[in-house]
Amino acid sequence: MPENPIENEDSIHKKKEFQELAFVHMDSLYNTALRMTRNELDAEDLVQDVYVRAYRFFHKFRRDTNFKAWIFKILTNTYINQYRKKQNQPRQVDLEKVQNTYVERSLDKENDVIEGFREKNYDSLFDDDIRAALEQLPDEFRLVVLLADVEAFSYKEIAKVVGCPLGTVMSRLSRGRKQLQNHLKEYAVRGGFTDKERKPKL
Amino acid sequence: MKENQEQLVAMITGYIDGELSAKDATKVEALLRESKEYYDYYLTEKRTKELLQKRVSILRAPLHLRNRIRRQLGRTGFRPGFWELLQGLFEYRPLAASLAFSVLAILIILPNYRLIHNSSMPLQSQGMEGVPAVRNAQLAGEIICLDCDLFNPLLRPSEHHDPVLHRPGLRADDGSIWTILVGKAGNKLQYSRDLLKKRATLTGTIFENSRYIQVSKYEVL
Repeated sequence: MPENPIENEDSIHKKKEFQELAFVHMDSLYNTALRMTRNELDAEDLVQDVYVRAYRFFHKFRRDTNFKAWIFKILTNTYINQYRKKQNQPRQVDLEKVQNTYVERSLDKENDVIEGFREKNYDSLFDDDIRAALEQLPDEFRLVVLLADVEAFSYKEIAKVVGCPLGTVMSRLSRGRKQLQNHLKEYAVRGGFTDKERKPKL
Repeated sequence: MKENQEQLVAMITGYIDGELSAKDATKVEALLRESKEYYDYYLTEKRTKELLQKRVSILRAPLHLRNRIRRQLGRTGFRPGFWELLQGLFEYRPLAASLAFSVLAILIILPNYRLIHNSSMPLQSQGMEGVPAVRNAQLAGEIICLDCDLFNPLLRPSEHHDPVLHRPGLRADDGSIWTILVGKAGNKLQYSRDLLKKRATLTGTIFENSRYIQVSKYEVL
């Protein structure tokens, strides 16, 4: 018995197909939404909006393409257009500034960034530290890091989801991981897990 | 120099993710063999990636969310409505949507440009399409008094107008009522009470929209 009495067989079939394709990605979508919004309620609303939008525009989905990338693109767009606007202080990043800062830091031998930060230091970190370090990343970087390292998207898929060239994906990912390392290092130093005085090479 | 270093670092990222071409991968491998600094960087970034893969916990979407979405989909139509499409268009493609909207507006406005442009000349512009609002024409019909024929049924006897002052008009054969403007021939019609209820053809300038006629000559049939 259909939930909506005016549904015909075709729409029931499409709904079933949509649910089969879409519901397996709900955990991934929810996790990404949670890390983008940093708030459970917003994440739930965002995921719900994404599903409703995806469902309504399902006829535009090309069957020979990647559904996960398609629905993540909807997630990204919905987040950018609706949820980021809600925030009082949107976390936007001046890429030029970040780039300069990054290069300057890389060249500054007095900065303690990487060296000495070994596997044991990583192991000492709490999951909350990692989550907090991720949350400190600007949206543009956090999203590509999440998509690449947590959701295992290829660069090509990320480029489609985010809507930028492959080179930009690689560059954002590189800078995102670099910033993440810096934040993790701060936590490790604060926790006494690493030697603050050791100097970086790059 | 800075750009070069940044490019190399980005290439290391691509190498870690297995996204480089064979040629670039060989280049990065050579760099890692030659430079301890880049090799250290490579190891650190690789560990960061592994850390995220291992330690970023994957939460299950709450059951109530799944149920909520199922219920919502049950209530949702399959295809977006017009306004939703329009909203989506402006949200996701604001430039393209604005451009399309502008083109559409121009297409709508352009054919009516003359109408808007000539709005200071209503006599010429407000006619039916292809027919000027003011033109010379001949009307055939019955000569009537506008007050007697149109208003009297609505008025009390005390409010009836002075029968000496009939206001001449014409009930044309198509049923339209025309007011005869005061003028040389118009005055004759006004004061010739015996013309009332007679059929006549009036020739003169007609104001189509306001149904006035400036009579230059008339002929009683």
